Amino acid sequence: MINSQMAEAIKVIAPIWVNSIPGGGLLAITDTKEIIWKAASDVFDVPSIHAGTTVRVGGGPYQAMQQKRQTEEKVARAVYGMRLVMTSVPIIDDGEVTGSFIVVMPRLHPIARAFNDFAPMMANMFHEGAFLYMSDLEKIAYRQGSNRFDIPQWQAGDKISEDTVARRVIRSKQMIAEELDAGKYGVPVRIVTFPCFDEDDPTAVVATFGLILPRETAANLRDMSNNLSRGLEEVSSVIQELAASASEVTINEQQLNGNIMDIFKLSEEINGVLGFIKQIADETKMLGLNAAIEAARAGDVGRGFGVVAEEIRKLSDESKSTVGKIKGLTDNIKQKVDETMKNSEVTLRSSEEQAAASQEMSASIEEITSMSEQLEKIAKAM
Amino acid sequence: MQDTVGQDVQTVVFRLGEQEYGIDIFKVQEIIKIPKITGLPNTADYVKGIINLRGCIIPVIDLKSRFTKSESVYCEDSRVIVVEMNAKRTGLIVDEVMEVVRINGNMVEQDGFTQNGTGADYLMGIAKMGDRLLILLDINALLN
Repeated sequence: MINSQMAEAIKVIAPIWVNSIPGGGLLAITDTKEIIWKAASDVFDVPSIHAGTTVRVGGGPYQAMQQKRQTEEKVARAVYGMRLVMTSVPIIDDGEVTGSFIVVMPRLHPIARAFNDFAPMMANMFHEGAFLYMSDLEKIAYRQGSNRFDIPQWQAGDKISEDTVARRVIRSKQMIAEELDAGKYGVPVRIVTFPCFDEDDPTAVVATFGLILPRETAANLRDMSNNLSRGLEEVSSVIQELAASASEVTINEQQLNGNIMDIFKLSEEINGVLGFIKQIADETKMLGLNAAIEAARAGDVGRGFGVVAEEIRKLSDESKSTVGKIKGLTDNIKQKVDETMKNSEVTLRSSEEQAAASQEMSASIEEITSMSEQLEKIAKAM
Repeated sequence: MQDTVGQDVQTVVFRLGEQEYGIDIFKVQEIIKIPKITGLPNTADYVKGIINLRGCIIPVIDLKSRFTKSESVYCEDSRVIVVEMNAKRTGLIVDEVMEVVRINGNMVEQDGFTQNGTGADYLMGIAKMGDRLLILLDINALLN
């Protein structure tokens, strides 16, 4: 309880006093009806409280005057546009209430109160830095950038616009975590915002507290793992092509082997035919010789026939020697075919080895691919 | 052949090993492949046995073993030359029958080969045909 004289003294020291209150404050003096005097701090003011403002019926000062005792009222946001704590003391002169003395301070959420203490430390605790902010229901109340990361376009007092995370948190009353690409703040960020509830009413959101973490490392990691898996996909498709062509080579080589075998068989068949031709040549030769013998026996009459017989014999000899030559050629063919078959065996083996090797390679790539998938998951979870 | 100097004599040329021989075509009946030979017991090595030539049984002699005392191996060119020997038909097994050639008397050397005591009284002479030397055989003397 104070009297008018003390109130007058307060008016003198008030301008110094208000600016010494942490977070600022406002002092006012009323008569029984309305505010007659006010002193506001530099950092905090309630513009709707001014000289001439009517004392609210049922409000803190009203109660203080009615009950002649000090009251403390938690003023809801609806009244003056912000949450306030109003401490009222009645001014009593000679037992009669003549007015009240009011101390008005912003009513801060515990996090808001501590913000300036913990935020500067916390912001620098993260590897890539962090940006912390707190908003009330309308605007950004506190902000804290870090050495490594800051969002200069967010300043205390800026209105929070309709589409922001803070606004959505206020609406949903739930924590929201989001990933944003580099488009918004220059680097990819993760933004996590929690609603802050009234200390007395756990259903009423009074503020939001948010943390914005730059995620450049994670984004780089994700990009790299994306590139890696894309590269691996390409490699794997090339290897698949390689394996396919290797198995094609194997199939061709097998076909070639079959064809070569056919050639081998054909030259054997030719040899068979040659045997038959030689047999005929032998028979013909004998026929020729016997004809010559018969012709000789016939004497002069057979002379002409003898010549014919000799020609037949010569022809048969030629046939026989031709058979020999062809036999030489087919033997040559068989030898070459043999060499070719050996070579193609080697080729076949190499192409089979190649196919096997590309399968192994494919398996390794698969392993690496699964690792890069894991890496991608880790990068996403970071 | 002495009587035919200056005249062509048709000669059947055959081969024993590498050496070529000739016999007068008029002594030759025919040339056949080696047929099935029935061996005869108690005969000289070179007498291979008998064959059945269109119903006639004729003996067969291996000329190579006759000349060289060696066992001969028959191949697909081996033939039997059926000759008229001392008015009897006999088969001579040879390695190959080559051809029938006409030999002029002045191609033939006779001196020094047919003398007694050389052990080669079945030699009638050596015919020179270019660089080939042909031993001309007297078939009648061969089996005596």
